[in-house]
Parts: sequence; C-alpha cells; structure tokens
Amino acid sequence: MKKALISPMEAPIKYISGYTEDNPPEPIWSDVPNSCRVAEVEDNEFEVADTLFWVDISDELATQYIYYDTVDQVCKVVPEDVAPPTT
Amino acid sequence: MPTSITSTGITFPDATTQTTAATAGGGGGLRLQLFTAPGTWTKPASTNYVKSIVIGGGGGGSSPNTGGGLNPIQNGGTSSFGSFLSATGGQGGRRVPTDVPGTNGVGSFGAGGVNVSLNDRSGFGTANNNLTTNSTPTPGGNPYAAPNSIAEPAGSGGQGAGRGGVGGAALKGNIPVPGPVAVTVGASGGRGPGPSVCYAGVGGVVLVEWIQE
Repeated sequence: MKKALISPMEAPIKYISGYTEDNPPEPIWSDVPNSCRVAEVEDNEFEVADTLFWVDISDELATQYIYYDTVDQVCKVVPEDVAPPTT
Repeated sequence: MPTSITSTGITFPDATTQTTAATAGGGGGLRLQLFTAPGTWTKPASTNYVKSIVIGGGGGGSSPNTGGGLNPIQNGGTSSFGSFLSATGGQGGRRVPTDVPGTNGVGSFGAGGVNVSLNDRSGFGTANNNLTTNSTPTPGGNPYAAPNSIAEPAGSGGQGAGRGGVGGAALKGNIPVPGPVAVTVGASGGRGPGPSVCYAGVGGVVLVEWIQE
C-alpha cells in the first residue's frame, strides 16, 4: 500500500485523444472527467497544506500515470495517449 | 500648527507633546534558514511568527528518442512548511507520442498567517536545467550549494525534448508557530529513460525567515 498526494487545484488532467487532419497532424487534447492531479506517491505521509490531501493506493497503481477521480474518490489510470497517424 | 521645541518638550502639529527622549528600539535580528533537505525548523523561545517560501522540485525532462514522461520518477516532489503552505513539484516532460512539456507545480496555503503570493517565482527564475552536473542530482539538492551548478534555480524543470515542469511556489507571512515545524523538501524529478540528452529537474527548497531576540 502506498500514499498518493492529491492536488485538487491541478485539474483537469488531459490526454491525447486523437490528431487533427493537418499536415503535420496536431494532437487533440481531451479532459479526463472529474480528474485532478496525483502530485506524488510516497510510502509515508508528510504534513501538507490542507488544500492537499492523501489517499491510499495499491502498489500496482503507484507505478502508473494516475489521476484522482473527484466523484468516485479513488485513483485511476489516465487513458493512454492515442498514437499519431503513421502516414 | 507647526512642530515646535519648547523648554519642556517637542510639540507636534496634532497638538501632542513629547517630553522625554525615545528609548532605543529592540535588538532582534533577522534569521534565515534554507532547507535543501527534509528536516525540522526549531522555534526559538522569543519567536512567535515566521515567514516562509516553499518551492517544489522541478520535473525531469524526457528523452528525445526513448519516451519518458508520465513516469512517476520524473515528477518533482512537493515541498511543505508544516501544514502552513506547500508547493507541488513539476510534472515530468514527455516525448511519446509527441513532445509535451510537463505541467508546472502549484502552491497552496493552509490555515494561519497571511497568504502573500502563489506561483510567483520572482527571484527564483524559471530556467530549465541543462547542466550535466545536475543530470543526476541528489534528491532535494540545492543548486546554489553544488559546485558548477549555480545557474540553475531551485525547482527548475529538466531540459529535454519534452522539458520538465517547474516546481510550484508559495509565500506566506506572519505564520504563528507554536513549536517546531516539520519541513519537507521536494526532490528533483529524474531524467527520462534512455541514453539521449535530457536532464533531471532541480530539487526544491524551503526558506524560513524570523526575528530572534
């Protein structure tokens, strides 16, 4: 079990959901709904300003690019970026 | 009514009169402590209020040809002065599927004291670290103290195809300190994986100022 530091002010999290048809194609950024940043993951909590807070996460999630879902109140993996078109 | 000097004192325009000499001011002196690693600020008996600046660690840059970014080790760490104020670290830059700089960290305030400014890095700068001496910095390392790395301010993001975000910043004054305060200093974000040119971020700092008799 690890501790994830949640930063509600750093929102929303964005990912590349597609590319434009321009040449060269430009990435299209989309917001992850109800998301805010996981600032860092630690073994132990330390004191922080009360606008930040800690939640428990699994060891498996700790190694991935994750965000905090403000509605479900759990950490989730950020959707993978779409690869750019090859032609 | 002008200011006038009489045989018994000095009379001011507001009609008040000073009849004795002013006593000398207090002898308190300004003290500074710069934390470049986690620790504890120790409260002197004569000090009840302090000012603090916190800078989060800079995110690491991504490698041009091997990906990187979105990697937890590339994020800079959070700096805090107890629960009074904090600043998150910069996010690591990324290269795949495209060059994207990491987002900057942000400052935040807890209760107590007077909130002065957020994310104003005046005096600290926003340089990107591209010094090989800082390519593998000690977590929380102070760039001002490391030989040959004086050009890179605390919390700078690492250079790379996708540069690292800079650490957030927060400044608070008149912080009421009842006792010792735990200090956390954000570590620098590591460089992206691979052999190509990219650099780690620079560690954060916490600066504390107070008057001590």
